[in-house]
Amino acid sequence: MSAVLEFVGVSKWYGAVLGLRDVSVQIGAGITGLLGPNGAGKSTLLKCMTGEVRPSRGEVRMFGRQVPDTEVFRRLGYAPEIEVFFEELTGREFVAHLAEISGYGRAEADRRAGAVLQRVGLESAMNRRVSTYSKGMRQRTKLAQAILHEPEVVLLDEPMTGLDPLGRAQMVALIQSLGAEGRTVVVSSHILDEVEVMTREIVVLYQGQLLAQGDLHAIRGLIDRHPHHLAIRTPKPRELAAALAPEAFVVALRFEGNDQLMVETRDPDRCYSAVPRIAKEHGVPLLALTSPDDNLAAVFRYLTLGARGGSA
Amino acid sequence: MATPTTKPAASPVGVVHSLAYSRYAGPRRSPNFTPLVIARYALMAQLRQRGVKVALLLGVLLMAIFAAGMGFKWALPTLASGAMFGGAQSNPAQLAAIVREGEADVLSMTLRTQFLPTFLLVLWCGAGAISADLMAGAFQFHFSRPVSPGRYLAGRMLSASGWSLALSFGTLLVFALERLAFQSTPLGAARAFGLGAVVVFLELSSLSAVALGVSSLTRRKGLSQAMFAAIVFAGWVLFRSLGALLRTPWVKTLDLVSCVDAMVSQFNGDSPLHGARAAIPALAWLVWTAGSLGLAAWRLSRAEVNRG
Repeated sequence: MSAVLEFVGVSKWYGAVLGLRDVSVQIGAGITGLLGPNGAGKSTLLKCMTGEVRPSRGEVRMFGRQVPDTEVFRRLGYAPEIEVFFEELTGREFVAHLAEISGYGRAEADRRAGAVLQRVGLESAMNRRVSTYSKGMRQRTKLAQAILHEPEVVLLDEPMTGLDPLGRAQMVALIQSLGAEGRTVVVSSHILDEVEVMTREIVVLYQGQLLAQGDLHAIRGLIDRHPHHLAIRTPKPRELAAALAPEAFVVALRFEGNDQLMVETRDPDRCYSAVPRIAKEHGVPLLALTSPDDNLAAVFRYLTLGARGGSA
Repeated sequence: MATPTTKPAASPVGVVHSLAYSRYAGPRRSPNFTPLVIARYALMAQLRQRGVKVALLLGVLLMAIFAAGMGFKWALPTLASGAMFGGAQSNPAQLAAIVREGEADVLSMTLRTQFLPTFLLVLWCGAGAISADLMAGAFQFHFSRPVSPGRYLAGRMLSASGWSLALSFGTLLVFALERLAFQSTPLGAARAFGLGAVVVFLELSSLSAVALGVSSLTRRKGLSQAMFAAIVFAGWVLFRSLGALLRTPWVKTLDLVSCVDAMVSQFNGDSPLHGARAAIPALAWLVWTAGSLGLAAWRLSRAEVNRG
């Protein structure tokens, strides 16, 4: 992965409060989910990228140049978490204003504002004052101003907050399209399901520290503390359990209902390949084979519980 | 029967469009325009605020009242001396004194006419400007773009004084036209207008700079407005009292408003300050303006400190 964004030993203190602690991470093109509970340092990390917050220690680089840098800012789009705007301006004026600041002429800025507001689904409300906008409309306006100047890097701080289900689906599709265009998109969010739909690439922060980074499956594979779960739907769960019990990769077996067997294993790859073979050998039909904890929510839960020293 | 053609059938064509990111390569405006852009949209937003509309209406009303009053003041001696109907009969020295006094009025009356609206507009548009941007998160929108704190500050200076500037120049223009109509020569009216423009610039730049300076100290708009009002009025009272107590006229010229008033007196040739002390009002203006702008620039260069 060639890094577009790079943090090298970044620490940030707000007085006595620790915002980030020795974070070193590289982020490449495509969509990356920035995850962590409240106060984990997600917004601070994003603000370090925009130059709004200066690291107390370490360096932030974008395209190999140290932030803050004027040339870098031309290639950056940022939708902050805040929901207050220039309330007296219309949505179109607000976006055109920021387009002009980005260097476009007046006519081009207005044209771009119209086009980008249409892209985010605000065509019917773009000439209304921002003060009349709902929370969801403000989110869309923020996204519009972040992408209006065709930035290579787009940073979105909690873009799903306040959106209704339809709005969330549209926002997810829009962010996916930005990633598909080859941009580097960093999305901070609490809503794990939607991040999971968008990307498998995640950065997890916890109490200002980098807890995990990389592909979701790879991270799950590294969590040895919690055995992987494999849910097997079959009409003969007891026969299958008897066949699997002697296998070394099986940690525990549990029945759920009349047609489901839950297998706990520390060797999921071996388990995935062995279960169909053993089922066939014993004449047990398999209806479904799923992994309920190979998802973002489970990984996030395991990671943060591990960081707290708790247990699942 | 169809006519045979020698033209070959068109071969099928297709095109695959790249959806990959392509960077905008069109023309870009110089960053030097950024202050104008910030100011233009801020002025547009201000005009939609009730307080600004009221202050502007008040300014126009005062301009009309004072223009009528000054018109009478300048027209009556002119008519009485017969200057409009062959002024040769009048005493030229007396006439020159009347003209001089009238031209001096342009400077002082422009400031007096618009002092209250100017104060209110700078209070409303300047004293809370940076605080409001802090609260609104405008820093996050501005400074993640190629906007330097210096250009942002310049834009805020223009927007803090824009509407006051329009009112003051409107008033100045009306007074200059009246001068031209009643007493002054075109050169005299132009001179009065030019000096008036300098005075308006001095007053608005110092007021706006101080407003932005205090505004950069807090994200509470009301608090920064209160600090600005205190500097204007309490400063005036303080230095007036000190000057009276110490019996030193130059101390009275140290506050934000009086330093410009003192310079107006100097332009009009009726200042009590002479010699080295004549530089004190200009120095006071410089300290207020440059000091406040320096404070705001320093605070903006450490923008995250402003986050509260």
